[in-house]
Amino acid sequence: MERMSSEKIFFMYAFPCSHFLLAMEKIDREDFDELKRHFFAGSCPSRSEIERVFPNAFKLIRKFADESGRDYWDEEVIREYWEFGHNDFIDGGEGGYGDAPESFNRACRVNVVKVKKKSGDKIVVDFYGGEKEVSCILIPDIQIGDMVKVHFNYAIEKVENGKNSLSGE
Amino acid sequence: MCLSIPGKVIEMGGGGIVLEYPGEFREVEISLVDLEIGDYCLVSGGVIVSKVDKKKALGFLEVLDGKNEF
Repeated sequence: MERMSSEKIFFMYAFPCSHFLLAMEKIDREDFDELKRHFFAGSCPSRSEIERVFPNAFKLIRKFADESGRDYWDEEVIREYWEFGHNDFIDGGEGGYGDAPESFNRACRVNVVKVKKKSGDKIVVDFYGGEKEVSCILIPDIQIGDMVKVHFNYAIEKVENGKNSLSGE
Repeated sequence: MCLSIPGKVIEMGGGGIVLEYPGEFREVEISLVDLEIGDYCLVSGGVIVSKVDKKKALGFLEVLDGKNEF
Protein backbone atom coordinates (compact mmCIF):
# COMPACT_ATOMS: atom_id res chain seq x y z
CA MET A 1 0.00 0.00 0.00
CA GLU A 2 1.24 3.49 -0.80
CA ARG A 3 3.03 5.18 2.06
CA MET A 4 1.87 8.69 2.71
CA SER A 5 4.18 11.67 3.02
CA SER A 6 4.43 13.67 6.24
CA GLU A 7 2.68 16.53 4.49
CA LYS A 8 -0.25 14.37 3.49
CA ILE A 9 -0.64 12.81 6.92
CA PHE A 10 -0.57 16.21 8.59
CA PHE A 11 -2.93 17.83 6.11
CA MET A 12 -5.60 15.14 6.08
CA TYR A 13 -6.04 15.54 9.82
CA ALA A 14 -5.61 19.32 9.86
CA PHE A 15 -7.96 20.21 7.01
CA PRO A 16 -11.13 20.03 9.19
CA CYS A 17 -9.81 23.06 11.10
CA SER A 18 -9.78 25.10 7.89
CA HIS A 19 -13.51 25.76 8.15
CA PHE A 20 -12.91 27.53 11.45
CA LEU A 21 -9.96 29.46 10.07
CA LEU A 22 -12.19 30.68 7.25
CA ALA A 23 -15.03 31.62 9.64
CA MET A 24 -12.59 33.66 11.73
CA GLU A 25 -11.03 35.14 8.59
CA LYS A 26 -7.57 33.79 9.45
CA ILE A 27 -7.51 32.53 5.85
CA ASP A 28 -9.40 33.93 2.90
CA ARG A 29 -11.88 32.22 0.63
CA GLU A 30 -9.25 31.60 -2.03
CA ASP A 31 -6.97 29.87 0.48
CA PHE A 32 -9.83 27.76 1.76
CA ASP A 33 -10.98 26.70 -1.72
CA GLU A 34 -7.43 25.61 -2.55
CA LEU A 35 -7.18 23.59 0.66
CA LYS A 36 -10.55 22.02 -0.02
CA ARG A 37 -9.53 21.17 -3.58
CA HIS A 38 -6.46 19.35 -2.25
CA PHE A 39 -8.39 17.55 0.46
CA PHE A 40 -11.05 16.22 -1.90
CA ALA A 41 -8.45 15.23 -4.50
CA GLY A 42 -6.36 13.35 -1.96
CA SER A 43 -3.40 15.63 -2.57
CA CYS A 44 -1.86 18.19 -0.23
CA PRO A 45 -0.31 21.66 -0.30
CA SER A 46 3.42 22.23 -0.04
CA ARG A 47 5.16 22.13 3.30
CA SER A 48 5.56 25.92 3.38
CA GLU A 49 1.89 26.45 2.52
CA ILE A 50 0.85 24.05 5.25
CA GLU A 51 2.98 25.87 7.82
CA ARG A 52 1.60 29.21 6.67
CA VAL A 53 -2.02 28.13 7.13
CA PHE A 54 -1.64 26.16 10.36
CA PRO A 55 0.97 28.09 12.37
CA ASN A 56 -0.49 27.31 15.77
CA ALA A 57 -0.56 23.57 15.12
CA PHE A 58 3.13 23.69 14.32
CA LYS A 59 3.92 25.39 17.62
CA LEU A 60 2.54 22.27 19.28
CA ILE A 61 4.16 19.86 16.83
CA ARG A 62 7.57 21.50 17.31
CA LYS A 63 7.15 21.16 21.04
CA PHE A 64 6.12 17.54 20.63
CA ALA A 65 9.12 16.85 18.34
CA ASP A 66 11.56 18.63 20.65
CA GLU A 67 10.49 16.41 23.52
CA SER A 68 12.02 13.45 21.68
CA GLY A 69 14.79 15.30 19.87
CA ARG A 70 13.36 14.69 16.42
CA ASP A 71 12.70 16.84 13.39
CA TYR A 72 9.17 18.21 13.44
CA TRP A 73 8.46 17.09 9.88
CA ASP A 74 9.64 13.55 10.53
CA GLU A 75 6.90 11.18 9.34
CA GLU A 76 6.80 9.32 12.66
CA VAL A 77 6.51 12.58 14.57
CA ILE A 78 3.55 13.72 12.45
CA ARG A 79 1.91 10.29 12.80
CA GLU A 80 2.43 10.22 16.54
CA TYR A 81 1.19 13.77 16.89
CA TRP A 82 -2.17 12.79 15.42
CA GLU A 83 -2.14 9.38 17.16
CA PHE A 84 -1.80 10.75 20.66
CA GLY A 85 0.26 13.97 20.89
CA HIS A 86 -2.60 16.21 19.82
CA ASN A 87 -5.04 14.59 22.24
CA ASP A 88 -2.49 14.75 25.07
CA PHE A 89 -2.13 18.50 24.58
CA ILE A 90 -5.88 18.94 24.71
CA ASP A 91 -6.33 16.69 27.74
CA GLY A 92 -3.47 18.47 29.48
CA GLY A 93 -5.16 21.82 28.97
CA GLU A 94 -2.15 23.21 27.11
CA GLY A 95 -2.06 25.83 24.37
CA GLY A 96 -5.39 27.38 25.30
CA TYR A 97 -7.32 24.13 25.56
CA GLY A 98 -7.62 24.72 29.28
CA ASP A 99 -9.75 27.77 28.55
CA ALA A 100 -12.06 25.99 26.14
CA PRO A 101 -15.32 24.23 27.03
CA GLU A 102 -15.38 20.44 27.03
CA SER A 103 -17.70 20.36 24.01
CA PHE A 104 -15.04 22.07 21.94
CA ASN A 105 -12.18 19.95 23.21
CA ARG A 106 -14.13 16.79 22.50
CA ALA A 107 -14.71 17.83 18.90
CA CYS A 108 -11.07 18.86 18.54
CA ARG A 109 -9.63 15.55 19.73
CA VAL A 110 -8.96 12.85 17.21
CA ASN A 111 -11.66 10.47 18.38
CA VAL A 112 -11.77 6.76 17.55
CA VAL A 113 -15.45 6.01 17.14
CA LYS A 114 -17.82 3.46 15.66
CA VAL A 115 -19.92 4.05 12.55
CA LYS A 116 -23.64 3.67 13.31
CA LYS A 117 -25.29 4.84 10.10
CA LYS A 118 -24.26 5.79 6.61
CA SER A 119 -25.92 7.88 3.94
CA GLY A 120 -24.01 8.99 0.86
CA ASP A 121 -20.87 10.81 1.98
CA LYS A 122 -22.07 11.26 5.55
CA ILE A 123 -21.89 8.88 8.46
CA VAL A 124 -23.29 8.98 11.95
CA VAL A 125 -20.83 7.88 14.64
CA ASP A 126 -20.97 7.21 18.36
CA PHE A 127 -19.78 10.33 20.14
CA TYR A 128 -19.34 10.63 23.92
CA GLY A 129 -22.58 8.89 24.75
CA GLY A 130 -24.47 10.52 21.90
CA GLU A 131 -24.10 10.64 18.14
CA LYS A 132 -22.44 12.91 15.63
CA GLU A 133 -22.76 13.26 11.89
CA VAL A 134 -19.49 13.65 9.99
CA SER A 135 -18.31 13.58 6.42
CA CYS A 136 -16.77 10.32 5.16
CA ILE A 137 -15.69 11.84 1.87
CA LEU A 138 -12.12 10.63 2.49
CA ILE A 139 -13.13 7.03 3.10
CA PRO A 140 -16.10 6.31 0.85
CA ASP A 141 -15.92 2.54 1.42
CA ILE A 142 -16.46 2.90 5.16
CA GLN A 143 -19.18 0.62 6.50
CA ILE A 144 -21.52 0.51 9.47
CA GLY A 145 -19.70 -1.16 12.33
CA ASP A 146 -16.27 0.09 11.25
CA MET A 147 -14.07 2.09 13.60
CA VAL A 148 -12.89 5.46 12.32
CA LYS A 149 -10.76 8.35 13.46
CA VAL A 150 -12.74 11.58 13.49
CA HIS A 151 -11.48 15.15 13.77
CA PHE A 152 -14.16 17.83 14.02
CA ASN A 153 -16.64 17.17 11.21
CA TYR A 154 -14.68 14.62 9.19
CA ALA A 155 -13.82 10.94 9.37
CA ILE A 156 -10.18 10.76 8.37
CA GLU A 157 -8.94 7.18 8.51
CA LYS A 158 -10.43 3.79 9.10
CA VAL A 159 -8.99 1.81 11.98
CA GLU A 160 -8.42 -1.72 10.78
CA ASN A 161 -7.10 -4.52 12.96
CA GLY A 162 -5.55 -1.91 15.24
CA LYS A 163 -3.74 -0.23 12.35
CA ASN A 164 -4.43 2.77 10.15
CA SER A 165 -5.59 1.47 6.78
CA LEU A 166 -3.97 4.14 4.62
CA SER A 167 -0.48 4.07 6.04
CA GLY A 168 0.44 0.54 5.17
CA GLU A 169 1.95 0.12 8.63
CA MET B 1 -4.06 25.40 19.75
CA CYS B 2 -5.11 26.41 16.28
CA LEU B 3 -8.35 27.98 17.31
CA SER B 4 -10.07 29.67 20.22
CA ILE B 5 -13.81 29.26 20.59
CA PRO B 6 -15.68 32.53 21.15
CA GLY B 7 -17.85 32.78 24.26
CA LYS B 8 -21.01 34.90 24.43
CA VAL B 9 -21.35 37.41 27.26
CA ILE B 10 -24.64 36.71 28.96
CA GLU B 11 -24.18 38.28 32.37
CA MET B 12 -21.98 41.01 33.79
CA GLY B 13 -21.51 42.72 37.11
CA GLY B 14 -21.28 41.21 40.56
CA GLY B 15 -18.38 38.78 40.84
CA GLY B 16 -17.53 38.30 37.21
CA ILE B 17 -18.57 37.89 33.62
CA VAL B 18 -20.56 34.85 32.63
CA LEU B 19 -19.85 33.44 29.19
CA GLU B 20 -21.99 30.99 27.31
CA TYR B 21 -20.44 28.21 25.26
CA PRO B 22 -22.05 25.20 23.59
CA GLY B 23 -23.15 22.99 26.46
CA GLU B 24 -21.46 25.00 29.16
CA PHE B 25 -21.22 28.30 31.05
CA ARG B 26 -17.99 29.77 32.37
CA GLU B 27 -17.36 32.65 34.70
CA VAL B 28 -14.36 34.88 34.17
CA GLU B 29 -13.24 37.55 36.61
CA ILE B 30 -11.03 39.70 34.45
CA SER B 31 -11.53 41.24 31.04
CA LEU B 32 -8.92 43.25 29.22
CA VAL B 33 -11.54 44.69 26.88
CA ASP B 34 -14.82 46.54 27.31
CA LEU B 35 -17.79 44.31 26.72
CA GLU B 36 -21.55 44.41 26.61
CA ILE B 37 -24.07 41.64 27.03
CA GLY B 38 -24.41 39.80 23.73
CA ASP B 39 -20.79 40.40 22.71
CA TYR B 40 -18.54 37.50 21.79
CA CYS B 41 -15.03 37.24 23.18
CA LEU B 42 -11.95 35.04 23.53
CA VAL B 43 -10.43 33.81 26.76
CA SER B 44 -6.74 33.08 27.24
CA GLY B 45 -5.15 32.06 30.50
CA GLY B 46 -8.46 32.54 32.29
CA VAL B 47 -8.76 36.17 31.18
CA ILE B 48 -10.92 37.71 28.45
CA VAL B 49 -8.36 39.06 26.00
CA SER B 50 -10.32 40.18 22.98
CA LYS B 51 -13.72 40.81 21.52
CA VAL B 52 -14.80 38.89 18.44
CA ASP B 53 -16.94 40.24 15.63
CA LYS B 54 -20.40 38.68 15.95
CA LYS B 55 -20.52 37.44 12.35
CA LYS B 56 -17.22 35.62 12.74
CA ALA B 57 -18.24 34.18 16.08
CA LEU B 58 -21.53 32.85 14.76
CA GLY B 59 -19.73 31.41 11.71
CA PHE B 60 -17.32 29.60 14.02
CA LEU B 61 -20.10 28.19 16.16
CA GLU B 62 -22.01 27.02 13.09
CA VAL B 63 -18.96 25.09 11.91
CA LEU B 64 -18.61 23.50 15.33
CA ASP B 65 -22.24 22.52 15.22
CA GLY B 66 -21.70 20.86 11.85
CA LYS B 67 -24.12 23.24 10.19
CA ASN B 68 -21.70 25.17 8.05
CA GLU B 69 -21.36 23.50 4.70
CA PHE B 70 -18.78 24.44 2.07
